[in-house]
Amino acid sequence: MAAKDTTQAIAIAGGLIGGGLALGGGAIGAGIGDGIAGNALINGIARQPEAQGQLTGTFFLTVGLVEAAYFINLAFAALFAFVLGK
Amino acid sequence: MRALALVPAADIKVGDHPTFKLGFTFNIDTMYTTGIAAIVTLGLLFLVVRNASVEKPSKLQLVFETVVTQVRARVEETIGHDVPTWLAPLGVTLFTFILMCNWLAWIPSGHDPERLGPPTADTNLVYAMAITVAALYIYAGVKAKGARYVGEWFTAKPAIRRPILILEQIINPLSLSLRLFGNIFAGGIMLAVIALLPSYLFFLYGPFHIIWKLFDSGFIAPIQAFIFSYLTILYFGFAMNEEH
Repeated sequence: MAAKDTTQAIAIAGGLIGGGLALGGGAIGAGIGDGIAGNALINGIARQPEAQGQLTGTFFLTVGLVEAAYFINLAFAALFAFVLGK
Repeated sequence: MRALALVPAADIKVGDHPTFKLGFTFNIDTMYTTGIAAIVTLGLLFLVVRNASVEKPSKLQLVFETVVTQVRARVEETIGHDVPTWLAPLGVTLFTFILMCNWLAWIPSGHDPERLGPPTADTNLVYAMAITVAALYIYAGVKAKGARYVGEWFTAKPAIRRPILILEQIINPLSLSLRLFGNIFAGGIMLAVIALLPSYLFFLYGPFHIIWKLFDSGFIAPIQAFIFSYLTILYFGFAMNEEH
């Protein structure tokens, strides 16, 4: 890992910091998004308990969409950390 | 300096494929894993259709009947009338094919190089699928509304909507493909990150691997396949429905 010159050191530092930022921001966003979706699910079930099955299906679809943003970030963080920061 | 050595120790390769050059560069592994997934999909679907029976439906037939019923219901609630007859089959095929692609990750095939990795973890396949889908829904839109469909991108009112409508045509396929790619690719990266555990925690490798694989193949893979085909149908709906 020892950087051979300044340019490489900057590349490694930038890659790792960029990966960290991508992961951190993605995690915050996905957490908030999942929380809002769960909040809406609980509200919906509290109002209309018989709609639980339908709501749960839609909830998992939403969670899939929200988590997808995080996983895209995870992929790009890996790109930054393991390719650019090398 | 010791802590920094984490990265080369991992030696995780991103976007590194065995290739051959023929004018363009071809990723061999993506090509043959796509072929395998396509053969499995076709074989499975033809098997189900050939052995379909009303009196004694097999379990596989019941699974696919559920998938087809779900896709048809989505198509009908999104578009309603004048549905192209090939749209529901397209959704079913996309779902099955992407699921089979993602489930190739079940087969352990080494990590450097990975010989049977899921082809959806390569941007080339997902871009190709998204471009195909985009071409199809633009075709369906033009067929349903005529030149007015493309024309309204440039004449929409208020004018601020025009760049949004045009950008949407690029962003939709891009997000569609990157969502699938990111999820499946991150699944592989997670395994590599689990393998980075220090050796005195070796007893955690197995459980972590199994838990992550179960979550990845049992939840993420089907949900992403479903989201891809569902969003495809939604985009067809946007393209074909009149705005109110």
